Amino acid sequence: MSRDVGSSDLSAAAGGQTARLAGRSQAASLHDQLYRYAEDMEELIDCHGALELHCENLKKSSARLMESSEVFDELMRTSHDIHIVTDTAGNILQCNPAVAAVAPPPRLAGDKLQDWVLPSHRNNFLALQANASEGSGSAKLDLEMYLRREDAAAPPLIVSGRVLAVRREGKVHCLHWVLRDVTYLRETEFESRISSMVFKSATEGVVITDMEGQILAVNPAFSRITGYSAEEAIGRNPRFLNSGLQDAAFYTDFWRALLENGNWQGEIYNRKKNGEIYPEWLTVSAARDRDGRVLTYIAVFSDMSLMREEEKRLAHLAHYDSLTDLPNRLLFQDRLQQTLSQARRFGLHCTLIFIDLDRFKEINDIHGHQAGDHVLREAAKRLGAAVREVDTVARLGGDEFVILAPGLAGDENIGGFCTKILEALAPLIPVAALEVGIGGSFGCAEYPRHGEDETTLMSHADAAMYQAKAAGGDTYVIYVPSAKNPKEKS
Amino acid sequence: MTKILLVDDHSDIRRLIRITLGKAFEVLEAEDGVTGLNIAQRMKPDLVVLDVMMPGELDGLQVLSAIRNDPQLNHTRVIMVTVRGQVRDYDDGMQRGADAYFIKPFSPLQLVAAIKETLAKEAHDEP
Repeated sequence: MSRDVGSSDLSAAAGGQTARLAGRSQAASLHDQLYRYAEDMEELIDCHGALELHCENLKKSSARLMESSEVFDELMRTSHDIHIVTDTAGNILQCNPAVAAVAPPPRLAGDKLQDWVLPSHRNNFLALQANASEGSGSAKLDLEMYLRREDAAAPPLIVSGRVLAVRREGKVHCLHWVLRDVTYLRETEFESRISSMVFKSATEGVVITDMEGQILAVNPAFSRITGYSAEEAIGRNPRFLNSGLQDAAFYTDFWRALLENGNWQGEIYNRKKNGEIYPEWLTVSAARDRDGRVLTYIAVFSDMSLMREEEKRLAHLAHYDSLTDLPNRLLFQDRLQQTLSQARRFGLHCTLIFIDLDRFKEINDIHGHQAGDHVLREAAKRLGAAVREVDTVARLGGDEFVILAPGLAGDENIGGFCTKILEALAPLIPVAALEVGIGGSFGCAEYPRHGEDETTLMSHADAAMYQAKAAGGDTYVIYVPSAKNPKEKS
Repeated sequence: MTKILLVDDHSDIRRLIRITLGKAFEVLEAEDGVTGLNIAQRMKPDLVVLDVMMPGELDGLQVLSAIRNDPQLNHTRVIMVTVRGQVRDYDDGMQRGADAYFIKPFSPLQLVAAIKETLAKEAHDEP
C-alpha cells in the first residue's frame, strides 16, 4: 500500500495487524454502506408506492380525459350547429361537418370567414370580429348574418350565434364561432307575419277551428260580415251561424268532401247576428301537420249578398240610362220583344210612341250641357209620371225617348194618351235664372195595324215622328201607310 | 452516452454504485489507482468517482493529481469518496481540483444527484 503520509489515520498501522484492521474496517465500511443503501431503498420503496398510486390516478384521469375527448369529437361531428375556429384575423382554421350547409369543410379551410359573409352583413361582421379579437369583455358578441353558399344558386344561409374568444395565457388566441342555421325559422317567421297580415286585412271572413270544429280564431272581416265579435265566436262551433236552410244530407256531403279531399267549396246560407240570412261562398280546407294529421280547419268565406247587389248594380248599369235612370235601348228592345210576343200569342194590341224633344238642341247650345242634362232628367221624370203602370218609357239616346204602351189601340185612344203626355211636358222648366219650355214631337205606330215586327213598327213610329216635327212640333202623328212605299202597305 | 469511471478497490461498492447509476450511463470500473488512470487515459470518461484509500501504487489523491496534470484529462469531473472523518482528505482533494467530495457511507441517491449536478455544471465551467 502506498499512501501519502498522514493522509489516513490507518496509514500508521502496519503488518498483519494493519491487514486485519483494514479487513475489519473494510467489512465495517461495506456494512455501513449497505446500511445506507437499505435506508435509501426504504425511501425509494415509499416513493415507488406513492408513484404507483399517482400513476394509477393519472391512468384513470387520462382515461376520463380520453373518454370526454371522444365525446367532444362525437358532439362536434354530429352537432347541427356550425362550429368554426378562426384566428383573430378571421382565417378559418377548423370547422365541423355541419358547415357543409355553406360548403364542405376542406373548401373552407384557409379562407377568410368574411369572404363567406354576404356583403350587406360584412361590416357588422368585421366589427364583431375586431371586438372579439380585442377580447373586451363588454363587447357584443351575438350575431345574425347571411352566409353565401358554395352553390351560388342556393339562397343564403341565415345564421344566428355568437363568437367566443379562446384565450391562451391571457391573450385571445383564436375565435370560436358557434352558428345555428335559422333560415327556416326566419322564413317561417316571415310567412307567419304575412299570413297574419292577410288574415287581418282580408275582405273575406276567416274562421279557424280545431279538429272538433271549435273556433280558435276569427278575423275582423268575419265580425264585419256576421256581426259577431271574436269574443262571441271563439270557443263555439260554427254551427251557431247555421241558417237551417241546409239539410242533413248537405252536411254529410260537406264532411265527406272535407275528410276525403281535405277541402270543400260551395255556396251556403248562414245567419248573421241580426237574424239576416245571407248567401256566402265558402271554402273550407284542412291544415295538416307533416305527418298528415289534421290540425285545424280553415274556413274562408265571402258575403255573396254584397256580390249579388254588385251584380244587380252592374245589371242596372247595363239596362238603364245613367242620366235619367230610364230603361236604355237594350232593355227597351227586350221589353218590346216580350210585349210583341205576348201580343202575338194572345191577340193583343200595343202602341209604340217615338218622342223627340222640341228645342232641346237650342237649350243645350245656349245654356250648356248641364242645363241640357237637367232638362232631359225633368222630361224623363214627367214622361214617367204621365204614363200608366204597364207602360215602358225608355231613353234611346240624345233627346229621343220612346214609350211602349201595351193594350193601347185605336186613333182616338192613342190621341188621348199623347195629348195627356204633351200636357205633362208643357210646363216651363227652370234652368238657372230662366225658365225654358220644351215640347215634344210624337210619332205613333200600333201593333199589329202599322206593323207586325219590331223593325217595321219602329221605323213607322220614327217616320210619323218626323212628320210631327215637320208640322212644327208639340204634336203627335199617328202613322198613315203611304202608297209610295210598298213596305208601308201592311 | 455519458461515461463514468468508478475507481474503488471494493468490488461490492463498485457494484452498488453501478446498480445505483442504472442504465443511463456507460459505467467503467477499476480496482486500483493505476488501472483507473490507465482506463481514464484510454476511455476519456466524463466523470470519475474516485476512492481516496486504495491499495497499490497510486491512491485516489494521486490519481486526481495525475488527471489534473494530464492536458487530455484535466477537464474530467472528479468526485472523491472517502471514509468518515478524513478531513484532510477533503482539503487535499478540493485543493487538487476535485469537483465534489463524498463521505462513506454515502447515500447512493445523493451520489447520483451529485453526479448529475456535476455533469450539468460541466458545460458552464468548461474553460
